[in-house]
Amino acid sequence: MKDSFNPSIEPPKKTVTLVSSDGYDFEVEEEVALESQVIKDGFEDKAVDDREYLLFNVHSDTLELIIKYCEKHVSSRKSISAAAASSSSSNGEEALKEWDEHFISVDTNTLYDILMAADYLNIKSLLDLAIQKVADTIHGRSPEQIRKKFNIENDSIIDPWASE
Amino acid sequence: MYRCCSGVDRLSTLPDALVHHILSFFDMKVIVQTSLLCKRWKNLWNSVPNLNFHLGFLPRIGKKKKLIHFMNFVDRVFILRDSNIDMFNLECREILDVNRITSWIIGAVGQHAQELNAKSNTSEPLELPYNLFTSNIKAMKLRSYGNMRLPSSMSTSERIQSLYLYGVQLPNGNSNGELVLSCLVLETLVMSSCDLKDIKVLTVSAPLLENLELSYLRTNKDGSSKFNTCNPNLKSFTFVSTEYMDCCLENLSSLVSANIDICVEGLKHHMGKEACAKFFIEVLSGITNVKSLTLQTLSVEVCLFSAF
Repeated sequence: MKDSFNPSIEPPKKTVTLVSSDGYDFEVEEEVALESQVIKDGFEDKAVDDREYLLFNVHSDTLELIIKYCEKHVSSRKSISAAAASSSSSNGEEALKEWDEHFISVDTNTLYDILMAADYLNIKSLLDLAIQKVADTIHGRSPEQIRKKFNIENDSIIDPWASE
Repeated sequence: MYRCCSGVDRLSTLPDALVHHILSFFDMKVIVQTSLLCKRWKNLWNSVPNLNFHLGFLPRIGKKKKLIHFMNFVDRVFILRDSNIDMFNLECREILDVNRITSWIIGAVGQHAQELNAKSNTSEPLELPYNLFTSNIKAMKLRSYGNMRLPSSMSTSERIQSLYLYGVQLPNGNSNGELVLSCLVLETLVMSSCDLKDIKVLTVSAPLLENLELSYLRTNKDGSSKFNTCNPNLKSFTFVSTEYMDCCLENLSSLVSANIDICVEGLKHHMGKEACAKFFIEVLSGITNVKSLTLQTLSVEVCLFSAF
């Protein structure tokens, strides 16, 4: 019981379990899971020992990415506010932006998975990030180029671009 | 979850709300073009909640035709739309027809827009519709070259939360030349290069106001403009002036940052250095208990100079 005299020791962090659509369990810290507005909304109603969430719409590959994003944002927020409290200058927000940019630079399929999951879990900052990425991809392209980029099949009867 | 390999169109399988969110970043011209992509996209454009119309400078050749084309385009989008608007954004560098702009703004207000941004240039005065401040609009950014005039409903707005005005004329005050802006939920007010020509006393009475910026206001010709405010919740205050104004700042007890710049160069044509310094000190005396205060060096110099 030596540890109990050590004031710096932290109590064990509370965790919740997220279950992906393909049946994998992910144990994450409570505050990380609460980044999702959907989980947050239902959180108080759940018993403390029954904090397990079945995410029918999120595949384990995507869930892993989402958790990585939330963990990063929770820890960055802490370090930014700590830096602000000690009024030491920090480029925490800049660094986080860069991290976000790197995080969302994924292939189109993964991007859609993240987009749908962020929408389903209602994680606003991640949804905005993914939406912005899709918008950036569309930007400056002609309808024909957009079709090619996103594999959109032209099923309209008349195609004014067909002759080009 | 629906997962698929590459080569499949997943953009079109997104729910309408997400597609609309993606499209909200684009100009209406681009959005309307997406209706050509495929059947799924054909009618998506007319329920996009954010309307962005942008027209940059046009080359002289064919300008008239292009301007008419642009105005007809905006008209048609409004006629063909079938759902409510969240935001209406108009940014135009060329001179537009006053009546058309008014009808678009009325259209946006009628379709329950919550945010209105208009940056426009007209050759005739543009009187903004009265219901602008009785509608659902919560946030507004207006920029003009002096021809846009706000309606008198501005002074009793109950819904507006953020208001940015650049080069806009304020409504006339009452018969004594007093204008009182009592906006119940206003949080941010920025007035820059706005004309106070007929207003002798401007009073801002907004209990929730947190950010206030007054810069380069064009005061009453005889220099008798007076500004009153009493904002216990004000956190940030910016005051930049080239003209004398009698400032009465009361109860700014929550103020965190203040930025004061009395542009002496502009002032000295009308008043001596001592008067400048008096003006400067008058403004400063209303600011107490602030955590961060920024003063322009020229203003401070004048102040010190006249003290000796």
